[in-house]
Amino acid sequence: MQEKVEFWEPHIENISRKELERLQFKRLKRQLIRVYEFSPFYRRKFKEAGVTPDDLKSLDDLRKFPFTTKDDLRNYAYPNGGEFLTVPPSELVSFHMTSGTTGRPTVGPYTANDIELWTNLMARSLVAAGVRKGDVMLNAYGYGLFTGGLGFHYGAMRVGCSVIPWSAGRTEGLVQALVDYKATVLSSTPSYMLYIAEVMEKKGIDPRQLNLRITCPGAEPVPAELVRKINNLFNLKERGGGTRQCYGSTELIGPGAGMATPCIEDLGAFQMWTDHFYVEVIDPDTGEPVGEGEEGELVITHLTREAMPLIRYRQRDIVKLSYISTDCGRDAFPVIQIRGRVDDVIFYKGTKIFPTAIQEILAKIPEVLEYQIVIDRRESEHKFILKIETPFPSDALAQRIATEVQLATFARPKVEFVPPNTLPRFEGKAKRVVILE
Amino acid sequence: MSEEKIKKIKADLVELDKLVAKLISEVGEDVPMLKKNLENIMAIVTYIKYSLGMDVESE
Repeated sequence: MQEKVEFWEPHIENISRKELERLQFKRLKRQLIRVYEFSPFYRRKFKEAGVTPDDLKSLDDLRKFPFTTKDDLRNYAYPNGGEFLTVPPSELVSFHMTSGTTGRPTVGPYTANDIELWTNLMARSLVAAGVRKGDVMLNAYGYGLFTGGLGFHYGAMRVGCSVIPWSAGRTEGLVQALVDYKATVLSSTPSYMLYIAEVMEKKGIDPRQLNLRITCPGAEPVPAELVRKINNLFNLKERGGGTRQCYGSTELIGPGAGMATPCIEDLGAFQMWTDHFYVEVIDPDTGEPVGEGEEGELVITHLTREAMPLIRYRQRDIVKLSYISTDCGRDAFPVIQIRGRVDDVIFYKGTKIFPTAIQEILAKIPEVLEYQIVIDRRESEHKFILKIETPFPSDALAQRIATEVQLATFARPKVEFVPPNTLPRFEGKAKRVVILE
Repeated sequence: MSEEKIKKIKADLVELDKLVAKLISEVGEDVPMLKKNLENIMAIVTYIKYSLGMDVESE
């Protein structure tokens, strides 16, 4: 079944790349002036770097300006935007923030205009994903400080969907709600989608019999193999839908900074809305730009955000960026694949291991129900163990997994099988790496 | 939508923007309901202007 391509705002989504660059330049210039005038942090940073907004004569000139890091946000933005704010605190209408598990939380304050921007970008994303007025969306992203719940909620309501604001948890009840409300769209982390399907199977309900047409996973990498796995689990292609990943973060605006269209979902990729978020891809070690299609760290500059615009923010996501032309249009917007996170890299015996590389391999093996990566550094000889949850353990399977992982990561794991239902499941972001020190 | 129609809508939006701004200044702080709802209308108008590229047309 062919999906009809629709646009939330066709005039901007079908802009040419040249026109988009003109728009980006004007917005970028204005944003640099704004932060230089109103943000004490950026005024100081620009002065230290010896630059002013006047130094921006072309988009490439942005490279002259300093990066912003997560540490900068922790030190100067907590709790209400601090030295980053470009509006009086009385103009703020909402906050979101990260969990702060690796340090002080990172905050995202919003003005009324920011909320409107977010709502429309989520609406644009959902329409690009194939969601339509009349769809029933069960939103299983967490509501609260995490941006996922409210971001999807705002956007889906604007499109005209009926939203079930489930949040994460109470999974058996959630399954019943999917059935009773005949939900056509499910939004949650991909790990939670897999868990929902598992709970359904245990209850004797076939996930393929639901009414779901579209799923919108996010907040974790969603490689191509995982897209196929979720499509099959819920039989989405039969209903003319699919699995369209959503991209965002607290620092950016929440979800809705980018979304997969039907034409690129099989690439495990999404398109980034660069009329509002200017993107660069850099070598994380040197800070220099990498070529199109090469792996590097994603760097984002807010072009229109109002309360706390960020300039050259290092997202810590390792990505590949390219431009492709598809039947879904939007050709001026870059297609981005997430390859891993800088923060998630595991250092093992001089090798860098990206957990996403392991995730991609294991998603292709149907015998694997769940897994955990264990790095044991408690003794001088460090160990790389892959715990695999499967009802079908065998030497052949262990060999296959170890060999495929070794080919991808240059490190051979010791594969340990564990019985079904013994490894943790995740309602929010999955944490499948355990470091023992 | 034709270029001509978009142009007409943009012109009307400029007028709407002026009207809402005028109303906000007129209502002042006396009726919070009026002020906050008009400000919300202004936020929607601001996004529509972004979407139509009107924010950069005068620059």
